Amino acid sequence: MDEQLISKKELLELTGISYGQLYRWKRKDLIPEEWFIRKSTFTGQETFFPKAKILARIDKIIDMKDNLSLNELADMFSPNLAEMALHKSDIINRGIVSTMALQYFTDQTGDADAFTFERLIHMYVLDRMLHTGEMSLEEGKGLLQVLRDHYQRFEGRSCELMLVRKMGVSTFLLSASPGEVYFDNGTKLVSHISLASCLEELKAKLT
Amino acid sequence: MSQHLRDIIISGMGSSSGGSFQRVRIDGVGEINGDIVCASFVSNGKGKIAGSIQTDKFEVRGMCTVKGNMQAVHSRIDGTASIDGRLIGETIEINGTASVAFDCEAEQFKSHGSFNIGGLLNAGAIDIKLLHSCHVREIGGENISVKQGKPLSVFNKLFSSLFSSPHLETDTIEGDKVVLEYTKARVVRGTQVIIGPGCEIDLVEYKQSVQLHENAQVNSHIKL
Repeated sequence: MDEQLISKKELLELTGISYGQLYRWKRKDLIPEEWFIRKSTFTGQETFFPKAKILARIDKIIDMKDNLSLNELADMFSPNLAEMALHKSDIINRGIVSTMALQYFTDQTGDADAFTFERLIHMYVLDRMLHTGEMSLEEGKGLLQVLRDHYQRFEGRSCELMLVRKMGVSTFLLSASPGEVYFDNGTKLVSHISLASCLEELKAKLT
Repeated sequence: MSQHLRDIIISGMGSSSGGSFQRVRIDGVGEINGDIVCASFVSNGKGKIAGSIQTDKFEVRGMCTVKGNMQAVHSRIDGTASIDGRLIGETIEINGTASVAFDCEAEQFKSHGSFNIGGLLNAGAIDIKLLHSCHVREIGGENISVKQGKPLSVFNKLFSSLFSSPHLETDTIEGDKVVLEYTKARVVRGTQVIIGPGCEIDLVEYKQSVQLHENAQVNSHIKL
């Protein structure tokens, strides 16, 4: 995938943060190791970052660092699941997912009073996919099945979810990121979302 | 952990296959043939860890090699340690020689000896007193200070003058407050930069202030 890169120098100028802050955030795992891309330039080795990702991340850190400690922030950005459960009524009251998505989720996977974080993220992804209008309710079953059976395999790593359709038949794909996937011409990539960013959004909603 | 963890004490020669322990102590020659997790690890003599180590306290007097990564909250190296992976911790103190193959991360990094780091040295406070030559690919952090260490005795002085004089060699140094002496670097970037005697630096980029010593060689310096 072609991503626009930004050099470390430009990044610091643009965001106004200092070298010390950048290195501290790296130490605290607020900025993932794989975003530091070393490249040779005419002046020597320099570090670059994926522009859109790093700018969004730094915005978020600056936004939230007054309210949360660096360790709490690190938990939020980590691809690990949080250890918590939420009451059913809280899910609706806090508007974490729509009531329709919750209803569909409980119809498919069974009702409960409280939901673990793992089930919450499934619910959240379902809600997001339904909201985009790219996925039908019927396809939601496939989505929940792939998440339930395989999402744990990516423990601690970020992954992406893809919905592809060919001749009206839909398939869900979970793949580790960064990674590349190619399809033949008859296949349409309907939807492509990063589960790491879903996780981040969900954690932000919960705190 | 609910189970009570045991200790390993090797006096003389011995080996262990690794695992989880409370205290690990080697007096003599000891080998750990696997990954190890423990509360404290002390090696006096010759220690060898064939896997990775995770501990709260790591102390080496003598020699110790780690084939994997090392995660130690507090580590103190008074002899020679070589780590073939990454070194991550809160405080790192080197009073001897340390070599780390990849990155080295800590909140506090203190060195009064020599080191060789193949990756990035990233720490909140970096305090380096040069006694021998030190190499590191990159340095990044908040407060970075590199000073000429005072040799401990006349004998020591005699030896260091026979070989090359103590200095630090690196590609890039980036920090908020950077104070350097006897450092060879391609680029130094910082908010406040003080370049002391014996430095050879190609380019200095600073945000607020810069001081250049008359015995320093700086090819160019620019204010950002």
